Amino acid sequence: MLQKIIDWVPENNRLERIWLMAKFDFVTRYYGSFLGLFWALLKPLFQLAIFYVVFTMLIPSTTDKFLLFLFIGIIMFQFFTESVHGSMNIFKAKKYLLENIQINKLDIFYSGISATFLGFLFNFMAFALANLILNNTFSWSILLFPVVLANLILIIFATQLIFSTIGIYVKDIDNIWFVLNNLLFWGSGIFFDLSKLEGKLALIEYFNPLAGILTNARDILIYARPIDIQLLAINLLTAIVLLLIGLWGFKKYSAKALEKL
Amino acid sequence: MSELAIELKNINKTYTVMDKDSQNLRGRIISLITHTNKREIKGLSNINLEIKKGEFFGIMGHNGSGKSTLLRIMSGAYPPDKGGTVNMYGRYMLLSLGLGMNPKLTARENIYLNASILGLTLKQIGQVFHEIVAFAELEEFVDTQVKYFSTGMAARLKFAVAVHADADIFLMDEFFGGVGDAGFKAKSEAVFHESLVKGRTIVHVSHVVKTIRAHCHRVLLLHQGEIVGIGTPDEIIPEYQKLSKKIRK
Repeated sequence: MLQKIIDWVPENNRLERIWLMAKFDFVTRYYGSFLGLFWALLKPLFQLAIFYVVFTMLIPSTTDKFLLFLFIGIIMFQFFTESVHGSMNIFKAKKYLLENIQINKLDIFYSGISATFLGFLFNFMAFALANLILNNTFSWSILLFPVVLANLILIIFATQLIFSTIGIYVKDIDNIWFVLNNLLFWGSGIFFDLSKLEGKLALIEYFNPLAGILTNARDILIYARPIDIQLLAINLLTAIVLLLIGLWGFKKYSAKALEKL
Repeated sequence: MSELAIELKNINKTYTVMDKDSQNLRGRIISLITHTNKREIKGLSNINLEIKKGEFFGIMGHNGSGKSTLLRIMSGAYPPDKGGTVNMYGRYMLLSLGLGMNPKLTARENIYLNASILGLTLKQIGQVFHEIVAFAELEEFVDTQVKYFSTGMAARLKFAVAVHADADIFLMDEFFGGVGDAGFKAKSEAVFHESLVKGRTIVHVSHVVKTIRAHCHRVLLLHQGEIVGIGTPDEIIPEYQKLSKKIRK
């Protein structure tokens, strides 16, 4: 156990290496495109505009501060979905490293998440600016946002490990992901308020950690409400359980990743 | 030359080949239940090998003999079958004639990335950066994406990084002799001699008798995944040639 903790502490240049890989991942995603890094910001803004038009003009939403509600939902979900989707073919994408040079396979996941996190930061800054201008409520519970974000990152890491490992053996993983991603999109309350659901459906926040994470994020960032500790605890527990499953599966089944390509 | 650089114990490698239909979710489930649609191919059998630090070790064999599989097991890209142990004592880099670099990144970025993975800090990379570029003879292409490089240019770049980032073990798959013009080959050879003095270990997979004879201290001959013999080039090359004649018949 102690050795595992020690391994987490960056030896020599490990942090530098992860940072370099993350930076290059981030840059190559937008290399050569006309608008370059602005795509990182434009994509969620475009999605935001569409949903906003639909849910204010066509099917008016009764959710308070709907623009901000939608904005944070979209960028957090996009962080999740881009990270996981990017990891499904990670062994193929990083074959040039894994085959030629000794590298800890987990480092390519850390760098992958860091790269999408950079994109998320861009978007979050835009959200923070909008929140500052449009929102007149504030609560110190906002300081707990890093905990909620850490919960999201744990979920992302766990899902990446699970899907990339399955992807080694099952070539139609993209289709499975497409279905799951759609389920999560509709079941996470990106554009509707889950608290309005009644009966058993109201429990969705506890079963789907993304939904719970979004609820807590919105409560503390937009509505100045206290964080729901019980929800946070259950979401964190789910993330840890998923992460343990992901790490176990990855350790057991990822060794043959390159020869299965 | 007494310290070990590479130790392989009881290495076997079996590839499981699946039918195309078994590679999707439906096929996987059916295959799990029925245990059909897959075949096993033996890649390597019972390989036990010790390579000493500072040794220039050759691996010879005909196509399909398991040379590249063995090298990829050493590099950690492929796991051996259960019960096999691979111990690598030092930092290593596999050099093959494939691109081996991120084609979307520039030469500069690839140098930083590869050298960093080999263990150099950003400061150390900065110190050897110009030497790497000069050695690879790519001064005019530092900020060009590697996708525009020829195979030779990319191989030179990889080799230059491996040399200057002080990898302890070079795993070379048909790499030597195929890189660059006569000038670069001469430079590479000089590096090999200097490297061996520094105690670097080189594992060199090749068909080319000439380079094996010129450089290797010991050679392993593989045939159909099994060791035929290990010895000096003078002992093993005739065996290899005899085997070639037999295969041709």
